[in-house]
Amino acid sequence: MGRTLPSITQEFMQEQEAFARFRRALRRADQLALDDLFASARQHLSAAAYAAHALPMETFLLSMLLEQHKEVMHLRCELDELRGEPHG
Amino acid sequence: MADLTGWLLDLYEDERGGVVLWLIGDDGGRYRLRQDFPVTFYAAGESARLNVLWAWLRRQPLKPRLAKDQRRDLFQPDLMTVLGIELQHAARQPQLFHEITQRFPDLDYYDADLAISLRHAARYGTFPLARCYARADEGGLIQELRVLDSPWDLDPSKAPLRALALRPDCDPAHADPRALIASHDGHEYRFSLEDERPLLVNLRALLTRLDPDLLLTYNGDTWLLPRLLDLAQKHNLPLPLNRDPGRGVMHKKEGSYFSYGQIIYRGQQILLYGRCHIDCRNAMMWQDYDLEGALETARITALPIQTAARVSPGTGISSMQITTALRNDILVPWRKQQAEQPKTAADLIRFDQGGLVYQPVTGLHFDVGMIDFISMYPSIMVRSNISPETPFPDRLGSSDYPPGLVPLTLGPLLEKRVALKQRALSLPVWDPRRRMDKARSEAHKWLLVTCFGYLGYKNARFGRIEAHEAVTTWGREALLRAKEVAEELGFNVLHMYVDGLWVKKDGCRQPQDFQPLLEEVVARTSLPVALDGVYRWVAFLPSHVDERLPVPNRYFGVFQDSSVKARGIDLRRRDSAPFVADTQREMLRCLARAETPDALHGQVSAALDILRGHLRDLHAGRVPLESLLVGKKLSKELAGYRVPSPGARAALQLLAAGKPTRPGQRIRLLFTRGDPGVHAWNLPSAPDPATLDFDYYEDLMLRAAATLLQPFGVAEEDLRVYVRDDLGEQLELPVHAWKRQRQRTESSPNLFKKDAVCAPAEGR
Amino acid sequence: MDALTLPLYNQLLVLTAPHAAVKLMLELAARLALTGELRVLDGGNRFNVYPVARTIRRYSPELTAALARIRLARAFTCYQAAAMLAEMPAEPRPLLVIDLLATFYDESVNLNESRRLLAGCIPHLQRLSQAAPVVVSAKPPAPVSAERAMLAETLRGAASGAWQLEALPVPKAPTLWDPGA
Repeated sequence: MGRTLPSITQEFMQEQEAFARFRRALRRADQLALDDLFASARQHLSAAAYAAHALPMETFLLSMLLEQHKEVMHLRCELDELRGEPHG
Repeated sequence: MADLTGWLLDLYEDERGGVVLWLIGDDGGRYRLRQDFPVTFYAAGESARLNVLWAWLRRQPLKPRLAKDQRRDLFQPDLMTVLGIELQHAARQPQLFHEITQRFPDLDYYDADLAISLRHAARYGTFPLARCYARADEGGLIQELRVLDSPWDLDPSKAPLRALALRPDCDPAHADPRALIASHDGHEYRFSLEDERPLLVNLRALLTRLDPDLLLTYNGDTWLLPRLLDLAQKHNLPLPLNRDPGRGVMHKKEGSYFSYGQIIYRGQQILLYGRCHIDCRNAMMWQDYDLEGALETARITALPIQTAARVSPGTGISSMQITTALRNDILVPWRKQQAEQPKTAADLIRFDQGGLVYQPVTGLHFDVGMIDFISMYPSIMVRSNISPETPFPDRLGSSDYPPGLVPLTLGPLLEKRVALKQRALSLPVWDPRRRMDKARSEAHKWLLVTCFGYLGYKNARFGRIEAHEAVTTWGREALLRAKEVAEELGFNVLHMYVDGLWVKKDGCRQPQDFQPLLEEVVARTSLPVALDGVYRWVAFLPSHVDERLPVPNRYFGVFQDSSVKARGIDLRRRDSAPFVADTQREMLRCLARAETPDALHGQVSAALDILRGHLRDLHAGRVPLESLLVGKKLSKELAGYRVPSPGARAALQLLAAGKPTRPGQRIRLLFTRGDPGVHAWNLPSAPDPATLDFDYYEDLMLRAAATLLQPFGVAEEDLRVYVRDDLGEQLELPVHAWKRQRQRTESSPNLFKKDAVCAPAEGR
Repeated sequence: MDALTLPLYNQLLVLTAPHAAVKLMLELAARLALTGELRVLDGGNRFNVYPVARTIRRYSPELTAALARIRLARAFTCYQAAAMLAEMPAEPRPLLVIDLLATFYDESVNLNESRRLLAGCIPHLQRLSQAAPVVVSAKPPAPVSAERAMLAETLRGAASGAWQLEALPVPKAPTLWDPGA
């Protein structure tokens, strides 16, 4: 229906593909970690689409950071719980 | 002079001039009337060229009436000068137009290729099954015609239609039928196809005696009627298929055409005069809404019943726009030329998008409300006045400008849809109107769903890409506002998809708990919104390939009223083997019986038992071959395949058997062991059940089952082990996996509150 | 072929290539946008902004300004393409027409009609090329529509300069034995 640009998902796959050489040269365990990072960025593709940046890679990187930060906050919480300390 | 009140059944050009109308009289008679009906079309362009055209037309034997006029093209701000060409003989207009375009291809043309019923609808307000009053002279020429009701009436008076159903005793594609079965009013007759003369004589008698208004067939277009017509000619016993004695039936050839990168195949058509032939196999949307829906489509689009039953919703919408344009003195262009206005590259990124599609929080969730914008895109088009000629809106809601062509066309349809939907909620279950309302709603739904796409369609006469983009822009805005409202009111948004969102909040279980949310969304967006239901539980599924990746619009769940809903899985796909789809459906129904989260564990075990039972049936050869048919569509000509797909291999088999298939046609096939790996259905030789590739079908079933069980922590590999296990051990379900996740998403506070409790890591 | 070495005088340049040289045209659009305004008529629904943005960004941080200098419009039917060229005013801004013939190859449009429309486009392309460089890219028709190849011939015949690219050169993977590769 007149769609001219690739979808945000297609663009994402292209960007991921662009790092294929980098990924190949990593150790196996690091490859899996990298895959995790890219998978986490996929949680926010719709926001990336809405943002309509000319350079979507910047939005993907920000999404990865976002997920990382959520994980940090979550771990911080769990740690506090384990220590029996009050939250916050 | 005769005064007649009744229902309009059919309308077409009279070869002698004007139009023919068939009316079903209140007295039960069927009347053929004529009416004078001059038609006008227009040419526009350089005045020197128009003068040459004028001179050429003056010399034509048809003697059209010519006049210069000032008329409105929707895409031009000012009136433009056109040459009006009026013909008394409506039936000759297409031929004349064709000749004109051959000689003057450089000119622009308007109102030139319109169906006669649309012109008539614009002038008199007629439509199929309209209630009319007609006054005619002794020759049957109408002197006065008035339409007494409207296509928008919720409960129109029903015409007493007489229907005759005809079908072969088996599917002609599969085997040679031996008999023809005719039925009406509960009577059924069987005529052997081998005794040709008696068949014709009996059928003639039946048609004459019953004089049906509708002829409902199976394979009537592609096999039955052509066969009967051949027989009639062979034995020189004409069949009165038409009511109109002076004409032969209309034969439309088959064809494949290209539409948006897809090949669509259209079978040949046999259309009658004075009687409506509907081939249930060839009717576009028959599966979705049958006769009632087809009649409703005809009423709303003003297309003849036979046409309305066969054409796509896109043609329906186009017809409605044409009628609206004609009524409002807007010229209907023959060819769409209006092009996009330039935009910057940055604008292209912003506007070249569809609806917002969010990744869901995968896994199992309980007490989830689903909120839907009712007909979002059409509602936006109507309320924000989005039309090719109106300035693009700067807000959601009302518009300062008079309604444009698109809102004028869609407005009444949208109103009727909403009215019927609301009525459906209040009608008691036993009310006979429920079934009719439902069928008619389906017809409305398809038209509405199409009108948005049509706005951006390159060949749409009144399409405009910027208008299409404006609709999606405001759709995204509306969905985002709804999300903001939900989050402000403390809801967790689990998934969003274009015009719907799934929300959850502790303590919100009943429909009334979601009412404040609905009201605030309506206030913020000015668009109608409804609660689709509250799910007892719903599972959002991840990708087959990678469990970390959520997939939009792929889920299944149970509403509080125990009804089940699923999207994006096998049982929803047309081409799935019925046995696989049925297994999945049964398993899902089994899971749905769990009334509480704790009861789910037991139901999962029961579902696994169903799976094992069905697999045993498969391997024991107890599954009928028809249930294992997988559908494949040919996407291109056979020569275009470098490596033949299963569908292509099956098509080759059919070709070798003298049954060529065209691109876009659906082929049904069985998967067999070894080469070629498939056996096309409809081959003259029946497939040997022993050659079935049971492993392949088992694989399909396991995948379908794994889709359902994945949210419950059952991995596909475990499932394979389990079903191979002849000892019948109970599968150790890793229940704790999904129970823990449930705890995570249930304790779901607002992430940005400072004193947040452990925030869930979503999607893990 | 380096986009920068294409001579860009006020002329009508036609490039024929297997995929209408889309990559090259996008690269050209990016380079032109760095230093001035340009117009693009997309005849084949191919204007992918993302690679254009990436190219611009390699040379300049002013991405937004550069993108704003690209004004484009898309033609989805040959009627639209013809109308757009006819209505386009001659301006001293380069015009890139990408994959012009895509809509003319549409099998649902009669070949004679396509020919007539294309013949109508040529004078406008020539008119526009008096005021600014006009670069038109086109691809050959699919094998199933081979009879439409004459449309590409007509277009090439009208150009002041015509380039035919068989295929864009594939970069050779460097090896240990290539001195100075």
